[in-house]
Amino acid sequence: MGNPNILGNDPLKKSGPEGKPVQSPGLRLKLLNPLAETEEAPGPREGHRSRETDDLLDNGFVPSPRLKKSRKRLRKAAVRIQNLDEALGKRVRLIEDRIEDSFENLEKGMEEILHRLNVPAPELGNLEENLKKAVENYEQKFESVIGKIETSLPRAQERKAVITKIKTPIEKGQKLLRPSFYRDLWRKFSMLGTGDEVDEFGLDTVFEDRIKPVFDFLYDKWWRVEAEGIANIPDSGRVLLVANHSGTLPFDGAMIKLAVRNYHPTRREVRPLVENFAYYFPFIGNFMAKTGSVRACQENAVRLLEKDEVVIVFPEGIKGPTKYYKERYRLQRFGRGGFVRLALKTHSPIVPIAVVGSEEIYPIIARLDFIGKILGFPIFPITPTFPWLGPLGLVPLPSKWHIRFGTPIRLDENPPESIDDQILINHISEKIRAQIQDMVYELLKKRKSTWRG
Amino acid sequence: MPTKSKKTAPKTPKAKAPDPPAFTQQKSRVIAMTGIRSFIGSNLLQRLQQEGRHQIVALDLEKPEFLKPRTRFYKLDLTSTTADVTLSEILEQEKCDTFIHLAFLSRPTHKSSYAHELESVGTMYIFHACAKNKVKKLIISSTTMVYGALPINPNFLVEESPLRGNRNFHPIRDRIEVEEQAQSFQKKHPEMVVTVLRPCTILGPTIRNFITTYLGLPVITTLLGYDPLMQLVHEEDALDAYRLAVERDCPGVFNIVGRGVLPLSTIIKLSGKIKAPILHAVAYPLIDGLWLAQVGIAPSGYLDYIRYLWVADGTKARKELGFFPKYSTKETLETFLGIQRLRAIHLVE
Repeated sequence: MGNPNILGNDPLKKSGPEGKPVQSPGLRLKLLNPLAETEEAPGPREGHRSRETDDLLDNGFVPSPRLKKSRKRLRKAAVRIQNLDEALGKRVRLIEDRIEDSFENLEKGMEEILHRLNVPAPELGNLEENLKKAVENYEQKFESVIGKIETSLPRAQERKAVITKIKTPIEKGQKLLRPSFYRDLWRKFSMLGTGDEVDEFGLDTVFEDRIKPVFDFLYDKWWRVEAEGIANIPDSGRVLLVANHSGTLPFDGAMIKLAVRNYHPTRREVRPLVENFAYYFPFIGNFMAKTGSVRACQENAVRLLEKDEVVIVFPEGIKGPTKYYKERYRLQRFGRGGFVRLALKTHSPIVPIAVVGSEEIYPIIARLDFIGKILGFPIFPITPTFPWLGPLGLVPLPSKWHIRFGTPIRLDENPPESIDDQILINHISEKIRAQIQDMVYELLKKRKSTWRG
Repeated sequence: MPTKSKKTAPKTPKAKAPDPPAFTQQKSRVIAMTGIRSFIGSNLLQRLQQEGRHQIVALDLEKPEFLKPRTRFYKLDLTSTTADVTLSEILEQEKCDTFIHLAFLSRPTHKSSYAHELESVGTMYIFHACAKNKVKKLIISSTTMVYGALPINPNFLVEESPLRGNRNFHPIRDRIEVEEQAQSFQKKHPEMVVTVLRPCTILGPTIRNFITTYLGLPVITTLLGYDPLMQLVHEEDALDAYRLAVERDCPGVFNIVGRGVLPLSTIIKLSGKIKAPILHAVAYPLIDGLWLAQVGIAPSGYLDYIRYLWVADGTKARKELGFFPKYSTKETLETFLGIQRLRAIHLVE
């Protein structure tokens, strides 16, 4: 350095801050001024400041006082960080400007120096020193600015993190305002616990498994069901189960189904045949179909038995569960013998079943059938708890249950034309009714207490 | 979407089925067809044209573009009072031996008296003309909706089940009248082959009918607490059934249904739609009001069909007609939904 010839060829652009400045007070002032200016730099314009935060917050909802507070804080923080960002940008821009300015000044100075090249050599050396000093000075200022920027950066980042912390719950809150959120929720809710496929009678195994714990509780804890002779149901092939019916609501069917499902060696699925009236009502028919029940008619029963399923029928029909408490455990007439015809037609063995305990779950002490007719139900029962306790009256009483599965009855020895022999059918039907009645009496004799068994 | 193994699955029952296209040994027929602009009509006509073994006489109000020169076209308006005379002349001139009657509406209309004239009275004219010209075979399109949706229906309605459709619902009333006419006609003319095909709801990638409108609604109306089992047949399967009915002389009624059933809620769930359950006491007047206000898609009669069971049994068609559906109800729905997805992004029209 210091060679005037080199300096003359515009050396400062190559050698950077090592060029020799002029010792001029004007230059110094200009070097100091940027700092002074930036420290007093005005904040960003009002309108610009609020727009972004408003976009974030004012997206169409009325804020609560708490939200308002956090919104204020958020706005302040956003303004601050924006100020800071802008200030930093301005400083950097100014520094760049000043660097260019100073280069210009330096060039001017160099021109002056070149003018003064005629002056004697010692002065030139002095100039070189002065130039070096000026450059050092400049470097110091530059570094101090950079240092300031570096120290303020982490602070800005911290502030940003705080802002995002406030922002996320607000965004979550905004999600609650969108209709799509509720649409998805409704879609999920409306299909809760149902499968994608059903069998041809509408049995949904996913749904069945979902509600099974409720019935397991009733089976194990509430009624403490004791089942005997489940092994009388063959492991495979068609079977027709015939049971006595009682208890106002068809819990006996559910318990027999569960007993076979849980304790039979092959865990067979029992398909109960359900009275017509259930299918007129919303929810009931739907629920019955999903849990494997089928409307009671010859066509359905034949189809099920031909598929080698286990079908349970309650030949008493609606007369069984709607009888008065005083008539408990007296089996009603067994329909018109449809189940016998069914067994003859499909060559299915009949397994008689006696259920004891179900009569006491809703003891009917009176019936207001005209109310039931208005509602569309066959009866309107009055029990010690219903309708006095409202929905609580629907809680069944915790009696002790016994279920006995009898030995299978085969009707194959009857000739095929006996399907049309109504007298024979009625005779078989009565025989099976008597057998189930006997089994019920046996179980009742064994039972010591209604509630403890 | 079904996996690859699922897609190949429906082909297995077809392998067991007797070969449907082995009809070559049979003589060619002269087939008169009405309703050739309907979905089944146009597709069946194009198939028969392509095979080229039968002479086809197309009857409709307007001449469609897909007719080949060999196919003869006659303009026929079944609602005109002289339709039977015109038709009789055409049948005599062309010496038709087979008649396929497909001129039925695919969705409810506000012009119910026009629908009655076309479907019920138009069919009567066709029976008259066919009887006069000794047409050997008559194929009539019906629907499983004629059984009616009732809570006391058996889970699988067979062809002998009584037709208990709601007679206040005009499309069903007219169809039941057509069926009754067909029954008495077969009784009167036992030498003729009268085949009535009752397909269940037809769905598929190209068909547009009432159920595609229903599934296209932004929010699907259902009845609170009612979720009946539904049954669908794929459009290709339905066409196969008509094709079989043309070739095989099977008098009687046949349910044309796909395998398996799906609850309505599952259909809506798989469609990705949301359902709006309405209390049934409110829904009937509401839907009727919307229909009268020209906003609804159908009068309230269709609500029975999303309330109660009306699934039909396809065993008879399998045994006598040799119809084996390739698609199950779920696969049918999936083919439709797959195309709907492509339609949504304008990859197909």
